[in-house]
Amino acid sequence: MPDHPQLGNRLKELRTAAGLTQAELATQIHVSRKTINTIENGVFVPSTILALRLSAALGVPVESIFRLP
Amino acid sequence: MPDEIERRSLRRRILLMVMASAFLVWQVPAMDFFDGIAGRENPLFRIASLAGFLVWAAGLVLLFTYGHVARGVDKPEITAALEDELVRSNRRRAFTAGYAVSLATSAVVFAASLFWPITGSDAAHLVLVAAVVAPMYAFAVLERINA
Repeated sequence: MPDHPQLGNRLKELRTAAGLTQAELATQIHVSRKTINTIENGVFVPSTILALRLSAALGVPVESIFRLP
Repeated sequence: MPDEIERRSLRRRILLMVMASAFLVWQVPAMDFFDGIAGRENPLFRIASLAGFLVWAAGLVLLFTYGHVARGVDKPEITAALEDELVRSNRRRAFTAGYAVSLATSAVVFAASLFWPITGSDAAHLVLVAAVVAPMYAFAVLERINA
């Protein structure tokens, strides 16, 4: 079950646009592929640190990855 | 590297499941109430209990020695990925589940003691076994669900 059902994210879309697989993105930010998968599915909400790492790896601002309705 | 992380994560899950099962096989026949069910002299249960203990002990040795050796040899990226935020979150949830199971076991034992004689030693033993085994299974299941 999602940690925060209201929190939406565009991680999958942005990762695909950057031409990265889940495994490649995971390697870049030193987490497991599972972690990327659960974030994309909204099952796991990352910490601020991990969110910032994701935004740096994808070259986009954090608020373009995660959003509240 | 991602394959190595997946492989190690799967191995950890399996090891935890095996150790939790071994702990059950070791501890349950050692409980006082079990004598009434199976008979203390039954050699099968003694052998099973001993085997459970050996598997548990071997698992502990493997967990600690391999963990220490791996931490020294592995690339820091692998170590970080095997202990990332999701793993830490799953561990917290597993401990919470273990606490809930321990409370539920205490409640069941207390309720059962109103109808059947249960020794203090058996009650403590049951709660202890639940407290050890439940978080191990819960962690393995959570890691499996998120795989």
